[in-house]
Amino acid sequence: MADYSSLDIRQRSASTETPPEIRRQVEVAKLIDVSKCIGCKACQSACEEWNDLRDDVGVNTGNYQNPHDLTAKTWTLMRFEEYENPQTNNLEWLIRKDGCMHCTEPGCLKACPSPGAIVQYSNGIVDFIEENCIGCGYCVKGCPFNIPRISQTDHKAYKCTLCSDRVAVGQAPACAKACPTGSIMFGTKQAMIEQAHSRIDDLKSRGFEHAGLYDPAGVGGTHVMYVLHHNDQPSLYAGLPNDPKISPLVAFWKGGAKVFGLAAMGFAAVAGFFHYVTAGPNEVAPEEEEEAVELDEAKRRNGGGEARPH
Amino acid sequence: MTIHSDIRDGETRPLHQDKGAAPEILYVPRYTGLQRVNHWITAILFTLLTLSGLAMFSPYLFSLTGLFGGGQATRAIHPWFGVVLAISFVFLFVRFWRLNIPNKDDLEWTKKIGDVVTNREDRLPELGKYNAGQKMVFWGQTALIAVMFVSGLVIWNTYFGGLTTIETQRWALLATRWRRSSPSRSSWCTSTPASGCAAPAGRWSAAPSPAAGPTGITASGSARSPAAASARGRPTSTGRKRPPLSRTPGASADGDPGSRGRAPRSGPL
Repeated sequence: MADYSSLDIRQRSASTETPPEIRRQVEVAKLIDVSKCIGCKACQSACEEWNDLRDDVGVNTGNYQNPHDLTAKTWTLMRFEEYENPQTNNLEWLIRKDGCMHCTEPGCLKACPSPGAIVQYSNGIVDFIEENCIGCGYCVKGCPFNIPRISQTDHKAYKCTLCSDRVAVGQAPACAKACPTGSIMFGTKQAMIEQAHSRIDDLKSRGFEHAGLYDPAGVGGTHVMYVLHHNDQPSLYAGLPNDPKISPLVAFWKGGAKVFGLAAMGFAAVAGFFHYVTAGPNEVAPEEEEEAVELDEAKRRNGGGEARPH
Repeated sequence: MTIHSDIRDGETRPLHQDKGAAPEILYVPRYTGLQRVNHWITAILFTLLTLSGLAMFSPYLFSLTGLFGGGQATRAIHPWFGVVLAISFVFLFVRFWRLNIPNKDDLEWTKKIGDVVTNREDRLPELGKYNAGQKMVFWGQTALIAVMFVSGLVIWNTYFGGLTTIETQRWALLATRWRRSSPSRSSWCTSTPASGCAAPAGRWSAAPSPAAGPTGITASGSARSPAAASARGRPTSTGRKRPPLSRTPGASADGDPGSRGRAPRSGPL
């Protein structure tokens, strides 16, 4: 991944200070037109080639999907779904390129406890800085799309980087470069939205009345967008969330719960200290002393003269 | 001249002579050595868990990972501390749960919490080995440790990451964090001596007189020497935990300790 100058970071995980951002970069986006995808997996191969990844060989379960799930060494995956459209009675083979959506409000970044392990650049790319990653897996719980994966070898999190190193020098991501049908396009977010709209008009004119752009507002919009034939049912596409947003559990855990927790701990400490300097510790009165001596002697008598714990 | 005697084992042996007016020092055994070791293992692990957990809880405290050798090391070792603590606590629980069963004296003590925190022990009822505050700590800790342990297992990625759904893990994260941050009873207790909670030995109030100091075997050192651990203690050494004697009018006037049939009050270590 690229090491941008710190001037280019918009958000930084678990940081107590705001990162410097005096430069405003153009927001980039990757548009994946699912209606044009043929499932050739050139994008998967290109991603592996560019990032020097080779995943482990798995077992075929009768599906073209390979490997079966994203892993620490597979950052993008073609997911195949067979859908019998009840309206047209057609079998539709829905093939979606799964991977990090590079959200504007990243759940992974919000959840991460390690300062600087997850950063969002000012062009919108969300990147993991593995050097700072502690391997806790909170990013997995924070992501509304179930994308990050923890490597069992080095206990660090990995996901698609939107080829931040290529984008840094003005190139398109490897997957976009390799795609033979032009299903994966890359450019400024504005340009990608315009491109999507013209494609959606085209799809609608050919009978896909629910075609649309998947750019979920629940996470503030994403820098990886889909053109879907059935944008009214994103979940048809191998479980793409219909209305993704950062889970309220995660939001509370990282928001109110922390403030409340630290405040409560601080209050307990302060209250205890003030009690100590006012009322002070418990003091033993002389009559209690005598009583306890008598009690203990009684115990010793009963216990045969020995001192035993009681 | 006062003779300080060691009267453990029922025999009187002179310790050393002192010209002060100190009375005889009586050593009352409270806990066996094994109980003490068990308690302190639990306490030390609890502290380590708190520090490593706080490091991952708040970015402001992330520097605490330095105590454990870095972020990855903290993340790796925190759940192991938890496993050992859970096992250690089970032993404590089995040993002490009976003494912590609440009774109606505890209700009265709780209602008179104002008297408790202002040291008005004469207005409080007599209790068994533990007062209501200590019992609340005990049961509170049992519940909280159970919640932390189970929720911790759920979010322990290395071994159990694949066994639960992400939604379940989100709930567990909230439970872990929220539980940890609620004023854990023991943290409350160590900071409020008179509330009748567990305390490090050094904070026990001094027994009758300042001349207790020179003998060198005073309670302030009670945790330090394992050999004498079983015989440590002070005559009324519940210190802050000591419930008061009831002085209500109409109560039985006999000061005979035997008639109450209870052991001297003391608290957890």
